[in-house]
Amino acid sequence: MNRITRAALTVPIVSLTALLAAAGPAMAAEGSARADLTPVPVNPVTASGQGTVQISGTNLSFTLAAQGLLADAPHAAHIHFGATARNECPTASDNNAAALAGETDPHTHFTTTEGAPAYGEIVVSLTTSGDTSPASGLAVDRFAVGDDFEYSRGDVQVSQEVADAILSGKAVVVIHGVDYDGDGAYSAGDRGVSDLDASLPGEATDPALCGVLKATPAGGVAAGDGSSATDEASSLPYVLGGLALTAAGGAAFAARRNSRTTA
Amino acid sequence: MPDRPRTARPGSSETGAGGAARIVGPYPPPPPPARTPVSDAGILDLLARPPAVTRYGRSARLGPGANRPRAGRAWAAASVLLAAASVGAVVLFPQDAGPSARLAAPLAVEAAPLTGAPPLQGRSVSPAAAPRELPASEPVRLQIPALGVSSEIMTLGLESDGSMEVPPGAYPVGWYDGSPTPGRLGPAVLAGHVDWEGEPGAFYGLRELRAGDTVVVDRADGTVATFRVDRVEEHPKDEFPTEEVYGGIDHVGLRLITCGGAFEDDTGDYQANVIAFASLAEATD
Repeated sequence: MNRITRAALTVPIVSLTALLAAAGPAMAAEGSARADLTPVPVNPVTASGQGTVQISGTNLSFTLAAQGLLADAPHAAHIHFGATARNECPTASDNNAAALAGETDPHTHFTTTEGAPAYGEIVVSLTTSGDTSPASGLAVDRFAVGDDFEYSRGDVQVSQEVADAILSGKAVVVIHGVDYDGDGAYSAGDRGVSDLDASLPGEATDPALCGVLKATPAGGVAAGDGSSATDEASSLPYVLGGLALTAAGGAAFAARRNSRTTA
Repeated sequence: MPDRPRTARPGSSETGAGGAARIVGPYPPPPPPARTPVSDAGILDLLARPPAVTRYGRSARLGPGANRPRAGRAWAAASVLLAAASVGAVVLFPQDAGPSARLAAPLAVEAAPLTGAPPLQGRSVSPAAAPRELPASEPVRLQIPALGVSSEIMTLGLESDGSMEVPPGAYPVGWYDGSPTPGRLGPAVLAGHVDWEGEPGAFYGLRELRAGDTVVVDRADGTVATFRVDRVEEHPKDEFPTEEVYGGIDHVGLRLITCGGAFEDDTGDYQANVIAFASLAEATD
């Protein structure tokens, strides 16, 4: 009882402290990012997907969509990040030749474990409800189901490190579930059991789609140095070319100039 | 400004056509034509032309009575009138030509849309059946036939302040590598300069694109994605429509971004961005 009370007090205090810490110098931790999800190498996937994330301090909201994955099957999805990972999607060279536990044909299956050097560990589980911590990574009853889905969630709490990683292009979205044998369901088949959870078929946990979250650029785009605006030769066709607004301004300027000269 | 050879062109009436050639460019772009003194007669000649002088070869392509968008026609009419006034301002006070061209623009900042009519809605010009999404593949070349633009495409990331990098010169244009590759579902983003070190940039004529114009992107995998312009908008940079440009969309889109509005000496930057929004019309293998 006493322990519970202490925990009940400590948690809000810790999170309040975290909140204050985040609100101070972490003004930069505000923004959005987007990942274009493409098939991981090796695995037989023709799907595509999109993930978007909004960050406000350590508060995260996301939208995840995918088309073309295995129908009627749950698709676990996560944000991955690792301080020592390459922070990118895996390449075919990450598919190691050594068989993992339960992997009967290592060359034709790319497992989640094999991708870890590229994208790191699970930091957020993109579940449809309930817990979003790494602990829910394989909560297959709380992920989107089917070959065409889109869902959103808000108020997901992440660490400052994860928030920073997302906004600096180092976090990776991965959606799982590969039907290697094409039997329309997750089955052990040639792939065997999952390297992550022996109670699941490897087809259910192997990565299908991957994309690095890239931040949305801030503000406008500095796409000119004004060098044509100083040059009569180029300002003329520019104006003629339909710069109606500039033209209106020019007329006003001429009118002013005229009245001054004649005064 | 770098000293470059200038070819003299006879006849002031060539100035407008010269303006056309200036934004047309293989990479690297050819030197712009000579700076010809403009006489009053030359002005009349220029005014007799369609306003979209930089739309290289457009009249030939459309032909008389071709199906021209209503917005375009309204815009053209307004443009001729207003351009006449402005050319008068620039030419009557040639000693002020440069400054007045600059001073003129801030007055226009409050005024609204670039076109004389409400922007055309994107969907209305998109084909009913949207073409399929292409696999991811980086863009390598951009062509905008209506502007005579052809440019290689480089890759752009982010600056340390979180803003988008821009190409190091007037050409090439750049693809923001945080956006989908052109042909993927979502908004692919290309940025190009309006001008750089005295050269007209690859996107010098971007504001003159009209709904229905095509933008062709060659991709590294050999596929060609052809987009159709939905609308062109101009926004002050401090009110940049981030969500509209970079936010999620349910179709294969393309955004072309360059500078617009007034050039501000104190910031060394243009006041606004011109953004062309386009949707995938056709994809070839």
